[in-house]
Amino acid sequence: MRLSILAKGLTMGLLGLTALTGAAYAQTTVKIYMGQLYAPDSDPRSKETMDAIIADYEKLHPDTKIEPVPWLGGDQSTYFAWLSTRYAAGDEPDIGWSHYYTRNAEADRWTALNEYLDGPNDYIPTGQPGHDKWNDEFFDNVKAQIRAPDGNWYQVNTNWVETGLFINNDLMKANGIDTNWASWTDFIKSCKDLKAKGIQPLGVFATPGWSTDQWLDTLLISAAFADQIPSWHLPAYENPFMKDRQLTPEEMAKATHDGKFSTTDPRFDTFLDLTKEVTDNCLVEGFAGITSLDQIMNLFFNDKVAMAWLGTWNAPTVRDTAKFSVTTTYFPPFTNENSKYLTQPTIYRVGGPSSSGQFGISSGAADRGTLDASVDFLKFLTAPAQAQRIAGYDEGNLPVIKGVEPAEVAKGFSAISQLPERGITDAVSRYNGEQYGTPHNRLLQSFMLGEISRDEMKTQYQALLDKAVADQCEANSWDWCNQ
Amino acid sequence: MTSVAIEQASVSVPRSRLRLTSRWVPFLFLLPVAAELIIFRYIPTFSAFYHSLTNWDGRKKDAFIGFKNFTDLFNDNVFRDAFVNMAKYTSLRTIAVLLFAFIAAELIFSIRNERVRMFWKIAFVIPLVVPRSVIYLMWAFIYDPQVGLINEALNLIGLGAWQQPWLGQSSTALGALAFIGFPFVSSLAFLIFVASLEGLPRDIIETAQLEGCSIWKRIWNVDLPMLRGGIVFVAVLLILEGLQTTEPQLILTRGGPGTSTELPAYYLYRTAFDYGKFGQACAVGVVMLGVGLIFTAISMWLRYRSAYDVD
Amino acid sequence: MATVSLQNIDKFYGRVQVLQDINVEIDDGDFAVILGPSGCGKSTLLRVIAGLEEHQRGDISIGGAVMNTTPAAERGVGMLFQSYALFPHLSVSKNISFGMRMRGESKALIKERVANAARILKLEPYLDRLPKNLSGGQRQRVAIGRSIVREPKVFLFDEPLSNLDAELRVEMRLELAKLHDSLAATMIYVTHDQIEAMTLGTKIIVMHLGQVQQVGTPLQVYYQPANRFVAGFIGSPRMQFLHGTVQGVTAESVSVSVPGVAPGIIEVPCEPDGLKAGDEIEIGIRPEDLHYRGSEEVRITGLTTVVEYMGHASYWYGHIAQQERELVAHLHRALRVDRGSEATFTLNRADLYLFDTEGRARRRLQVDNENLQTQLAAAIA
Repeated sequence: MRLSILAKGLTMGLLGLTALTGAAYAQTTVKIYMGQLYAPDSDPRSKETMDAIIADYEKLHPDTKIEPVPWLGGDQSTYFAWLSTRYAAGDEPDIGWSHYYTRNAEADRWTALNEYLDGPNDYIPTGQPGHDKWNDEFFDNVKAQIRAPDGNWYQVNTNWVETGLFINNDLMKANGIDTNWASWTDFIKSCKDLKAKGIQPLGVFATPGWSTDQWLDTLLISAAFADQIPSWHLPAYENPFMKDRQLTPEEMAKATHDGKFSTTDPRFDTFLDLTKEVTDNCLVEGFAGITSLDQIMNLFFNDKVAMAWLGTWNAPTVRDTAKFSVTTTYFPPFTNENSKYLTQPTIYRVGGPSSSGQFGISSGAADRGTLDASVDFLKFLTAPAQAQRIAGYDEGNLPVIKGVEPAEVAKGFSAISQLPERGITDAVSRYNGEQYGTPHNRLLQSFMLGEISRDEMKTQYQALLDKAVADQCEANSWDWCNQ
Repeated sequence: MTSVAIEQASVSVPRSRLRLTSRWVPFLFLLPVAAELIIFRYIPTFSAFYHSLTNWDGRKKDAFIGFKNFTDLFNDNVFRDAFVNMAKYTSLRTIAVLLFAFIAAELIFSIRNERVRMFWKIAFVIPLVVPRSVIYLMWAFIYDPQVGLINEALNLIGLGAWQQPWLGQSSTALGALAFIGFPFVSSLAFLIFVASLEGLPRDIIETAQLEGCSIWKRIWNVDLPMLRGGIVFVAVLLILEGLQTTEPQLILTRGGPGTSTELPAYYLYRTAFDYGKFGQACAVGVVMLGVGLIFTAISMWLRYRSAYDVD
Repeated sequence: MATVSLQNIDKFYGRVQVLQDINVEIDDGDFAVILGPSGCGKSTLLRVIAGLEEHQRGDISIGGAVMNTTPAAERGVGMLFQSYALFPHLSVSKNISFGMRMRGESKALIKERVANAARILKLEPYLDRLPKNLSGGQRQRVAIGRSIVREPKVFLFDEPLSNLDAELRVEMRLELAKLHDSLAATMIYVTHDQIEAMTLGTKIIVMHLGQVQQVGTPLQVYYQPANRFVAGFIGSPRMQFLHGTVQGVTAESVSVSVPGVAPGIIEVPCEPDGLKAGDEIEIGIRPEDLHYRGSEEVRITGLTTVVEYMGHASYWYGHIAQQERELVAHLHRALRVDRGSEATFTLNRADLYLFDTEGRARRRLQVDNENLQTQLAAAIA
């Protein structure tokens, strides 16, 4: 008697389960992690706008459900650790945020998007760039920069960040400092004048991990090797629309391999000289003990530093918090007085596609059957109509989609975004890995503090360069590696 | 008795079935715990032992490479520095915590009024609810070279010349990290010492008092020897904690300046999650396990060597 | 001179009074036992004498000097705790020499006194052992040794034998008595055990509810208890109390009638001290004063409930008519009384005790005990 009831119960249960899964089968769920673009707890506007965008999409596609993962908070290490564990479990988001250089270094995690970028995007109106070929709606310099060494695009970028100098106007005027610098040398002089008056000039910090010194580092190294960089270009990466572009990891590796980028080169000494000069005269005291950009901003708001090098993403906070008048400007050009290897006076902008709108599709999506839905949703999300809505609340990033206008507070950076690109990128992307970035930062920090000698720095740095090349060659098997 | 019970039972149950149920029940209760231990502790440990000999990257690569990970580690000056730092950091911190927590516990113990004592105990212990990350973030600002509490305080009392970038130079960074949490009264060590002192037999304390022992003599000759168990216990905990410290690096220094604040656990974290070299991270873990075992063995030996309270 | 004088001592814990108007004089060389049930304040009194607790009113003098505010370490007392309070991490010799070492005495002196104490207490073979490796009796001797080397004026013992088994207790009792004799020291000893009190004490201080009930020699508190409490506390099995009424008084006796006890009027030889005819009283009878089928004038008959045969003696329990409570009587060990049978006991009227309704005893006359006289004489000397 009891056995038959049990049997009936089991059968019902099984049938029920099948029905459920059957129902689920009819619907595709696309999980998407958008970083701070979807932060319900801290930015209600992001939730409101993104939910509306998702609702619009689901109306068009009733068989698809979009599941956004809220912002995880904390810093990027938290997110990347989370992502690693998700991948290990096979439970990662279908569409994920990442930096292009990180993504390119772990290409096996992401789907190459080339074939989709070559195809049409029906969410863009006819006649507008991108309708016939999706890739056309994105800015050229962005596309050039985020392309992987293997020629694939593993992500699309909807926006861009710039950095700039935020200046405490009141403090400068009170101390008679003229901020219309004609050259880098003028800038250094202003730093000296400020220090003489007991004011800390520039808020930049340096740690072995990420820090704003990485930006400074790329300016100085690019200026030091300015005349050599064009000769390091490889044909495979040529872009007729961008004559000054960042070197790709392969080009960087080859230049190092061929001894053209080396510590024995006098240009490296120029780089170290520039580093020492700006560190000693301009950087805020105790820069190596400052732990985050928040601390820099705190110093800036409390009149403890006259200038802070911050990003577009900080502009809304500065606008809302600073009790003094703030101007946004940039560094003046380097001249031959600073680096005799410059072909003309120039300054580079530090900005790039490491912004809020960086999306890629996981390589696991194909197995899960969510690939097509993910591609389609990305096309929808990146279409100008939606990108403009996002730009409305994402004020600290500059849109890089043709036809999309930046927010008011970011407009001031448009001028900066016209400056030339720096030739050599920051330490992590230079050789495509954190394991070269961290030792680089560490060595530079020690040199800036005067805790290791110049020679010691050069010896250890050369060892790092050699290792980076060896590892990269092993991982990528470029044909010039064996020469 | 048993025979009486069976005679009176109206339901006949075979004796063997009865015994089976009662004997296996305790093991059934232990099963969930055993499962948790095996799945989350033992299997990962042995997996780490295995993977330390591979070039596992957390995803696809997993080839056997012998002891290469270990040789790479011992050739890496950052790794060696991390262990030297750990020795310094742990010694500093252990001594400081033991000293200050013990002093605080003795102070509390010397309060005669029960209510006042309870008030201070609670006052000292309440800060324990603050999460550690928050404490580290607070100290980031305390150590701020421009607006930080320490430098401002030094300035105020006329010792402006002693101002330093505490976290910003190799000579002071590690010490500054060890100092975080000063005066260490809101700590497990304090709780254990207070409990141990209050657990001392009252008549021993009174005997010492009767014999004309000053408080200092009593602390040195009676309290400390009798608290030996508690002291060693806290020391072991602190040493193992030093072995596993990553928060100050993650939140504050990232191991810098230079390698002055590198610690083994942070090295492991970075190798795994920043560099993606899980195999090598497992090797770091294996080394740390070895060091931890050695420390524990030494502590056990110290604890039980001619111990008066254990046979 | 190691006298101890307590005058009008009052002690409060908050609002609760734990010691009430304690007045006791202890002479040099006395073995004073503070006896009482749990919670009577005896340990508190000892700790107050030691200086471990404060008293709110009254004066404590040791050796003639007032010690009210003197710290414990300076009062010249040596205290033995119930749990011996040995330092578990120190060897026997280090335990004994602890106080001397803390006070910075010379090494030679320490060595001498420790050796001396070890000799007296037979601890020489154990000097290097830790307390955990000693038996209970050995540990106690170490504790005593620690007090001895202090050469205190007064030794204070807080129930030292309570933690020992019965056999060891007897042995240690003898040791303590011998120690008292050999050191000729003043000792104040707290216990709830009347056997210890009776055998060790030269002076017994009976306490109850924070008050001194009586101070006297052992036989004095036995034969001349000051009140019902002392009478009921001293003596085992306990004295039993039967209600009665005063029929008449003379200068040296009180005549009472007690239901269930023959004859109808019993003349009890004691001082009347305010009693008059018609007053309610209680008489006290000790079980050992009852003789089975004896020939004395006072007779009690009862119905046997049970007889306990102890071996050295037996105890008879039974009901008497007209009294609610059971009677207990001492029986010779060879006698047999059946359950349910009637038993008659007789006792001498001089063995009766008399108490008024407030519990105050009347002073007994005609107590005939040479030992008592000896003790009393010694006490006065």
